[in-house]
Amino acid sequence: MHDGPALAALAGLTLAVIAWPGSAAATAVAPSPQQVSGAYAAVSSCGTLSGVGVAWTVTNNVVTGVVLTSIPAACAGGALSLTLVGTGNTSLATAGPVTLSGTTLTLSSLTGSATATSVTGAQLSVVGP
Amino acid sequence: MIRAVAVATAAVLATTGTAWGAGLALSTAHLGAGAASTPAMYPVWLQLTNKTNGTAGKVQSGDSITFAWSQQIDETTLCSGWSNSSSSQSLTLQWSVVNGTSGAHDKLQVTGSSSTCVGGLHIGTVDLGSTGYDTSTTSIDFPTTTNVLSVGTSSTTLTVTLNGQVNGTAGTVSSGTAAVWTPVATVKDRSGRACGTNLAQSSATVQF
Repeated sequence: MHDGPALAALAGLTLAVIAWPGSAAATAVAPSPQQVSGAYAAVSSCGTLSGVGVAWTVTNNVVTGVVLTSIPAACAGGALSLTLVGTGNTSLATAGPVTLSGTTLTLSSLTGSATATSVTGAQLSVVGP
Repeated sequence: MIRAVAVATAAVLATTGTAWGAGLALSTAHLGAGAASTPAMYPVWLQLTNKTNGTAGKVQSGDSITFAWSQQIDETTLCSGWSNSSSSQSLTLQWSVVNGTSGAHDKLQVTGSSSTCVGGLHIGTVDLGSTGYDTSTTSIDFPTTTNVLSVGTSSTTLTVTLNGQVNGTAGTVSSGTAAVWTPVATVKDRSGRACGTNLAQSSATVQF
């Protein structure tokens, strides 16, 4: 029944929030949705992708297929994407995403044209399972 | 009660990098990313060339095959008697078109031996992409084929010119698939990097 102190405290906290760097302040704000939540959710790696073996098929010095080996078994069921990069990590060709079903994957369709002698590395990513 | 809500709101706003929103749902429990090494020593080029005025699609003396690697090759891994002190080598050695059986494509490979290359010339094999280059059950042999190695500043080329055709029956192929060169995996460059399981294929689908 004595809300005076409580309201005063709320007013103080509200000012603190508004004063926080990056906070927006506005009148007549109508949030939608009306429920907001924030949380951390832990995700873990399915394995070390830097140890994946890369072999390729080359046609007239252009990479036309890639075989990946030693893919961590825990990544099975995830979707793997490959990017062949050149100097400065510029993208030369990409493949995937392809769902992994084992520790070896053959990528026979690449988007882009990667001259083999211009490729400096392969960047891999796996999402899931 | 009101104070608790306000404190919670402030805590969310003050937490750097926290995602917020209604209906937030993660679709995966695993994310992975990494950079993998790409091959350094690999076959980079394969070309099978018809001789001047030859029959296209038919193997015959005078036809040539060019193999190229991406690095300066350690010549001793290709032929035991060769040395890296010379940037060019030449050798006469028998090659053959070997008839594929049970639907397998015909193959081109070294079938001869040389005292220079104890253990053989470790070039590997070429899947010719068709069953029709040798229409007999025996191999088409080229016993006096020349093999010329040229080591450049950053690559290596072996040019093979077929010669002395005997045995077998050469057919004329009008359509097929790209030829695929499977090199010997243990052939290395001068930094000790092996060719591995990398492949090269021709751009043409009819060879010779």
